[in-house]
Amino acid sequence: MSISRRLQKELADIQGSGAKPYSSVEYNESNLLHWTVLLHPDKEPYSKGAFRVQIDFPADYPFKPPKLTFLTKIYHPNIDEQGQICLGIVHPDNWKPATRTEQVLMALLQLINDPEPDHPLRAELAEEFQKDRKKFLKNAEEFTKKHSEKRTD
Amino acid sequence: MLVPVNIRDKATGTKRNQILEVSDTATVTNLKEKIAEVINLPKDNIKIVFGGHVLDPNATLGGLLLGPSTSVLALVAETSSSAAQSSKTDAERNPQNIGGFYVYCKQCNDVTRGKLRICCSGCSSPDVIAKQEPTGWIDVLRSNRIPVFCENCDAENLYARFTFKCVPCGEICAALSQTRGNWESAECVICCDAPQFVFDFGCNHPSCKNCFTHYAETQLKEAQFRFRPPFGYTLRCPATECDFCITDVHHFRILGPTQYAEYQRLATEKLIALDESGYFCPFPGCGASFLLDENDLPEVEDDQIDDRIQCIECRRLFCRNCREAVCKCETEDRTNSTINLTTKKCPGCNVSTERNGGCAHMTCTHCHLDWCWICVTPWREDCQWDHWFG
Repeated sequence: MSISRRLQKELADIQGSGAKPYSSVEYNESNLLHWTVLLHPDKEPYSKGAFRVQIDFPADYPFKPPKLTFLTKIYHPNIDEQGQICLGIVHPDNWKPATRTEQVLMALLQLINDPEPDHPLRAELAEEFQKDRKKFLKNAEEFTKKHSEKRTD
Repeated sequence: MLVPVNIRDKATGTKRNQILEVSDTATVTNLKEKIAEVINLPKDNIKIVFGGHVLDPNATLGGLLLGPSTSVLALVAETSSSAAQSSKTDAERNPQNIGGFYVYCKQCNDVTRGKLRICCSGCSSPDVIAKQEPTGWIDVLRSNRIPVFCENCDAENLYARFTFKCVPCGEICAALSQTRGNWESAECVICCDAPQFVFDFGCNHPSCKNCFTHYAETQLKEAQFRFRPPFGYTLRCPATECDFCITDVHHFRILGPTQYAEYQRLATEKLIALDESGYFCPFPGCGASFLLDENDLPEVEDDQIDDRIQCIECRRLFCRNCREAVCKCETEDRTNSTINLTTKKCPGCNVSTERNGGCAHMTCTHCHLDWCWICVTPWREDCQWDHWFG
């Protein structure tokens, strides 16, 4: 099976009409294995900005999961300083080859909007999120204003 | 085409075998006319029986996919049967393209179209009429579910015995009950092609042969098959969050002989690893795994305690407690003491597990149990509220 056919179809679906919580999908025509997408979370405090995410598809896609990395810095219990994300749907133990990138992005947006402090990558942020929500929201909002990109929606 | 016919006259009790030539597009009625010429009786007195039932007069013989050694039965009745039943055939219907049954043929080394054949449980004759129709795979794959009447042995309490044959080569094969024709021209959930036949785990998430094979290969290599009694070591549906699985492990034949043997080895090891009485031979070059039968322990003198067990393959003895070739129960072994210090055993399967980060919620890579690192029990809600991380 041709990997580029499936990726082309996924690109077409992602760029299709309708309001979407992400925009400006960028990729190289000659190599569809690397994309970047701008995410527009809709919940405070992340709704103050947009976040660029890189998606790297392995050569064995869709039999192996894509890897997602935040290019924009984000103050979030589930995303570390290197932009790495702990997202169940793309974990090698859970990955299913019928899963579409669109579903992955929706799962990622859900994680951004509603952090999961039970599986933290940054324990100190998870603790702050659970013990002092007000302080967490304030810090996250400041951080978002300082580091995030401008929304295009 | 040539059709071997077994002609049985009920009035006179005579039987004869005849090979008749009919055109490739001939119907059952055409065959009856041929037989009528041979036995010199009206064609309406003849019933053609095949595959467990009386054939429709308008059915085409080509659709039966008869091999050279398969004959149909022509029953000659005394009186004319209810003439020309009002059964309608669909001229469009082309059984060649519908293809409901698929098999894995070892001869062809591939998934091929399968044809269902039915015979008598008593005398193995194909001259049977089913008293009831099968409603699903269970009626076909399990024995003694469909009662039949056998024209050959006419005994009591007979059942249908079903077999599947490869359409291209005629070899008897294992049926693939989770493979079917792609009637609705559905897209493969992985590559989006619309193949001729699909693998359907029972949840209507179809996948094509190439994708199914590659998926099975990848999951086997990554140890992502799951142990699902009673089906065994098996594969989950490729669709997101769908938990249906392959219930008929014959499908893994598609991996080819080498990888299928590897699948069988892993499946056996998995079963043994999850069983308390399962052992792996510790001697280099053996690699046997087996379930210990307590009655099969080596004989010892009454007053002697022997904690050794014997490998079923290489017959060498090893300690049943530390499971080592040279018993280390009494000795200080640095490797073992390090393993014991740095790991905890999964409460589901006992596999030694190291926690190298993250929260206390463990998911066993071996048996997939969710367990708590602090309590060493299956994961509970209390664990979440009390000692989630840290």
